[in-house]
Amino acid sequence: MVMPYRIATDIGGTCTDTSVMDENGQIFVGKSLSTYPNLAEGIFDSLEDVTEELDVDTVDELLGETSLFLHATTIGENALFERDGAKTGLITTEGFEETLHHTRGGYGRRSGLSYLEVKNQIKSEQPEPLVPMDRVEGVTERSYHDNVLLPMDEEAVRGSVDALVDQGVESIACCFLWSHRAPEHEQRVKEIIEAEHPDLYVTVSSDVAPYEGEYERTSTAAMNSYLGPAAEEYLDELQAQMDSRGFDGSMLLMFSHGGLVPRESAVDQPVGLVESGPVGGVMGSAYIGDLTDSDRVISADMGGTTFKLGLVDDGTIEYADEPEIGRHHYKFAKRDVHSIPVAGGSEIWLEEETNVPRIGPESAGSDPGPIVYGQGGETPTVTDVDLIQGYFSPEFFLGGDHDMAPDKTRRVFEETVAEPLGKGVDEAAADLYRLTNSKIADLLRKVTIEKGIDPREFTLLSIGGASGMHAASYARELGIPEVVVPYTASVHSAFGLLSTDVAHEYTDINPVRYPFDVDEINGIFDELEAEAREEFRGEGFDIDEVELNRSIGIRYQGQANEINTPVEIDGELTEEDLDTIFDEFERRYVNQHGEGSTFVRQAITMVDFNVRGETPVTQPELYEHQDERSDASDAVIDTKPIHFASEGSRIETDVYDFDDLLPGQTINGPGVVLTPITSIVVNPGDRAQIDRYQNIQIDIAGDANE
Amino acid sequence: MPMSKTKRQTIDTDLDPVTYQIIKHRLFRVTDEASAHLKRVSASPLVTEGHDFIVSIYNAEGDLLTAGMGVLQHMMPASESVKHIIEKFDEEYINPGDMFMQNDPYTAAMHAPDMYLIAPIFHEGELRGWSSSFVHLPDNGAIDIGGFSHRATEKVHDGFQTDGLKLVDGGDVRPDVMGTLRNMSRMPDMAEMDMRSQIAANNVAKERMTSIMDEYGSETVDEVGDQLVEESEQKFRKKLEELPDGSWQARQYVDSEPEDKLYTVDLELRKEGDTLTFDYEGTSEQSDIGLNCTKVASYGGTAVVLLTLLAEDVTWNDGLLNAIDVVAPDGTIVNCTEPATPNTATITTIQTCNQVATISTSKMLAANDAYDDRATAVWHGSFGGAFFGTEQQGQYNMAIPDDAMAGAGGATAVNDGVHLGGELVNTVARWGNVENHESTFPFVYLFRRYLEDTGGPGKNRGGAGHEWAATMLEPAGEVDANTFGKGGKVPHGMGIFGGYSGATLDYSLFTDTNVWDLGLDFPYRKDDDAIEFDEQINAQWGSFTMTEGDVFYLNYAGSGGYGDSLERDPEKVVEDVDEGFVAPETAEEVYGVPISEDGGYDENEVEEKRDEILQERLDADEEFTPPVAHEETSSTGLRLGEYIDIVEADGEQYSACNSCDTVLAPHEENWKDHVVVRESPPTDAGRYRESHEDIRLREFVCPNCGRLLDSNNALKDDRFLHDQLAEF
Repeated sequence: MVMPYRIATDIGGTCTDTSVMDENGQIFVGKSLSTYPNLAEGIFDSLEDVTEELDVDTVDELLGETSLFLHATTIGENALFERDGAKTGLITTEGFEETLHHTRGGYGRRSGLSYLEVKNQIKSEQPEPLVPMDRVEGVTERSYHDNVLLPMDEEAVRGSVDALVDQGVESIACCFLWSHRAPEHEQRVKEIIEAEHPDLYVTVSSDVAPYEGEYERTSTAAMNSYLGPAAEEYLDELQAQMDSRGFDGSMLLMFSHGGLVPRESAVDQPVGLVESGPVGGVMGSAYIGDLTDSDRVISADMGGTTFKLGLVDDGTIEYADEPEIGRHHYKFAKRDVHSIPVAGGSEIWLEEETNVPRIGPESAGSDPGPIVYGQGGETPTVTDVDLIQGYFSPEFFLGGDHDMAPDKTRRVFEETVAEPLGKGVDEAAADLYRLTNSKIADLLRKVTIEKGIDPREFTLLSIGGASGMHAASYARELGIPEVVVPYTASVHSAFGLLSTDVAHEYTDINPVRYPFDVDEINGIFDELEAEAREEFRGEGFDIDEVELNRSIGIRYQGQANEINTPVEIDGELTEEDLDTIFDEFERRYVNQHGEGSTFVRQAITMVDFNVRGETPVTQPELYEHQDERSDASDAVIDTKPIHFASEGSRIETDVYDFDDLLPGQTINGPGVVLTPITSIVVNPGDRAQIDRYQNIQIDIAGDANE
Repeated sequence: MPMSKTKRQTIDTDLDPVTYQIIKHRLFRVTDEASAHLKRVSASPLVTEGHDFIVSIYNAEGDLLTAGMGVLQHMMPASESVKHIIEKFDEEYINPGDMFMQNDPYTAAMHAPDMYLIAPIFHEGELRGWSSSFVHLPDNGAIDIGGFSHRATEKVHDGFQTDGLKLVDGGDVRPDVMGTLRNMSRMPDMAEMDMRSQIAANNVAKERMTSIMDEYGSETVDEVGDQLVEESEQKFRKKLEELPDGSWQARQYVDSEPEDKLYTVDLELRKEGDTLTFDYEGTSEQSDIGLNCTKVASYGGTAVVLLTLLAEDVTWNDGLLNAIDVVAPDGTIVNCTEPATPNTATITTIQTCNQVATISTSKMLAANDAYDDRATAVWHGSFGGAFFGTEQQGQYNMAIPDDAMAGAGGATAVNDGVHLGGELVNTVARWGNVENHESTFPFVYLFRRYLEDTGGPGKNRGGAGHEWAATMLEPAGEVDANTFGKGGKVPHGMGIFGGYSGATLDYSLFTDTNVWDLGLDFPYRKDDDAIEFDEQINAQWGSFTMTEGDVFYLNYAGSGGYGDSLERDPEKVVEDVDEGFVAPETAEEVYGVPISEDGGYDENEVEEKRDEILQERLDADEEFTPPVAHEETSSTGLRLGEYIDIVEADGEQYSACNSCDTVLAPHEENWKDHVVVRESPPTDAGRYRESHEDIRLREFVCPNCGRLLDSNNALKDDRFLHDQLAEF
């Protein structure tokens, strides 16, 4: 039987999005509200929604014809934010029972706080740890570097486990000192628990986070065990429901490392599920970039409460240095997604002392939302500023069925912002528009220029409800030459899953110092690659299809941060290959820290060796429309005065309906394109074109330093 | 969100507020980014974990515009350091691409290991500003490793020092200068990496500043800088105006183990209108060893506490400093004169300045409703530790256990102190992992754990400190151990408003122990019968030799409590006992909460026990007659701290206990002269507070209700501290 469909579903804070791809590569989208706490309901609602677009009558029929179900879930974030994860116990090396609670001193107290909150130190507190002190058990044992200094007392382990079981724990985490180099004691603890309490969920730190640093390892293991039982239940339940409705394909889960994994891996390492949705979005941007021949992409998602940014450089996405979620640190290969609280719902206010305008961090969210939504919002937001600028048309918003309040928006904005600033409404709105963009530009600078990356060599992918009204403007500020608003922007993360590969990451922490022994390094990679092949084979993949990529974390001796340096060479490495690798390391180092910052090669330390295995699920081949060389003017639905920063005033501007625009058509700015969910602003001098995939590509004119 | 309804042009400028806002944030990003680079390039754990550095930017005259996060007390001297370079060198000697080293404590550094690197910023050929960074070098060639040494008795013992030396000349590192620095350090590689990390930070700051100037014009950036300083000053002064005028005193002692002496640091904070004066009159003469502060150091160490206590929402720059004056008499330990050395200032007297400034400022904040929720006991009073060093593979290698970075949060008006919550003057430090420290040095930690009863008891309890121990592994051979610190003879986590202080420190070196027989444990103080050793050496200060089988032990102080411990919610006391932060006997004797067999408490028993303690406090007292009856008084809304209200009767002001409303004394007299005063050993506030024989726990008790109105540790003959509000 032919199973032509591939489904991707992403659960978000507000909506559950589905993207379905048929055998022709055509994409269909479905959307419904997320349902808490029973997330599966929202999944099926969203499938229901997309079914209407497809050649099938029911969800069951769709599932019956589906080969792959790809999924990004917020089950991890939810459990952490709601704090309803498993009752977890922790086993540690005796004498170090409080590692998790110590949070490395002030690090835990200040982490995850804003700059202003950090400055307000006397009001800051530690987050409540995931495992309370009375559920931590110390065991006599001690390793040091690669060796066992003190054998483990197995009776003590059994006693500890029993004590935790008596307390009613549902899961146990274990982290011993130096277990990333000497994992045998932890592995033995796992065996003991699995033999005596097969129902308990167990995580040992050397499995989930084999990195140096007992605090981060402990915290990751604890988090994994905290999430494990809920993730297992959720995924089992979802699988059962899908199966009962005729699904006979495979389920794969999105991981924050930017790859898909089988359900079993997600159950073993649920910590990888955390924030996988936004990573899916960046993967989608990478894919669109690929389609449009740009392998350097800035993925910018501006919704109602946050602005999220991911960077695809040379086709790859950077990893986060020190991931944290809900102010809990963890260590896992997680792709970096940066965020700031500047988005459509961000509230605008004036500082009492100085009368200086500020944006956020408070957000009106979707309830009450911006004033213009007419749902009781009383505080001006960025969306209200966009309205005053003329960028969207209340009469067409969401099909025009809503009671919008444009007059009230102007009135409140005038009273609370413009007048106190001593300015007219238009002038004040233009100022605030500029300020919003400068905040986003600050984040962009931080993520690019400050890391030695030139944004002028990138394409900006604009995603999310508020994004299209700002992207072209801040892109111009930074000299970014091209903005693309993808056709699938409204379900972008779900779409991203369709273009993601199955992936696993393997790491060996083993500091290698001068003089370097190339045989030792080859040995490490051999072992990692054997492990990778075994796992993929076990999952039923064809080993010949699996691509293995190597990298080494390198730093100078004593430094705290390494630079992940790709190794472009397969097979056995030679002494000369090492020089090539060090050249690449130094190139990256100088890029970051400037000329004159490198040190002697004898001081180089290789701290971790990584292999990432990927096997492609067949990539979507998106449906290509024929170019229509016809005139875009047929799509004009309105002409009105709209404010543009470059003009410093309002000018008469055509407003286009996206649904009437055809591939190949171009718009010479100024212009505004209305889509069912948002507006896309084309500034004077810029030029927009609808491409074959119905993406809007905007060429940005001018230079950054205007 | 605050929303201003009326137009208020407080700052006179043509600068458009949005442009101002945009450039201001760009400036913040400059220091943030430069700090990030510095941290990534440095190879020293003091930098990468302890964040013992700071990066700041200045205008052309050397006024501080903004600084990144770091050891904040450097923020103030940092402008001195730039101004000194401007003064010292001819204009022609300062050129684009130059950078100057400076680490002279009599100029700007806190002590010689604090190396500044100062870079002029040129734009279109004109000097437009400065950037500077400082890093605490692990070793600059002082008499002992790391430089914290009691053997240094004059400045020249402190190793390499310069008040200005060009390290980078037109973009090129001078090999003669770098070579000299390397030659002077026991750890030349680490020192060079630190200098390179500072070069990287300055490079970034310069580049970003020039690109902002390119974009907006250097005049506009200047104008933003001026306004930034002015804005901070105005905001800060406005806050001061909301507080009543008055004077508040605090006192602390620095124990000098090598000299067998206690030094007194006496501080009076006076607030008049919108200015603050911190006056150290009465402070002891300077020390023969390195406990001293130079003037810049005590200035920084004092003013720094205002940043987070009262300027948390103000840009930290020279604008704040314009409202602050510090008076430090010459020749004292807070303003030493040459040839005295300040080599341990950062962990001794500067921190003592932090403490007395925290207490006096908190008392001021508690004077009315405007800021009273911001009053706090001392955070992490006791810094100290050990450097271990030994020859490894032909190179000298050092371990710097950074346990002191763990800190402990002081109790505040509204919260308990955060256990191991860091310190007040370095908001972003963190404590290194055991595995990090063990990775390059042959020693092994035995434990790191909270020590019961270290957090100062109070209505809100101080955060707990911890204890740690380590032994040397084969093939360590003979290891140098250089230890340093204070707080062994006086509790340094000072409490406030009756809250008790934290513990004293115990630095012990045990030789030839049975640590391996005990399974790599050494339960000193937990199970003294189990431990065996040849000798226990008090190792608070000094140079020792350690070898396999020896154990070094150290416990930190914990932080101060806030308010009378008898007011603490018994539920919280039970929780603290359950979690091991308070011993059951302390719960009963200090908190008045007897712990029942099931680990809970009985309300009646608590009431009974607390009554008993209140009675004990009053026992010695004779009948008390208030100067005026409560009924004849009216409120003024003003207070001397948590428990003393200022009330009025017939135009006269009085101090009154706000627990029982008893009027204690006319306001112009010190109410402490009229209440019950008790003196006892500091250990009465809980275990681990063994102190110098002349140190007393002094308690001031309401003669009517027994409320503990105030308490502090004092030398037995020292006068009572006297706080008062100005005439009103």
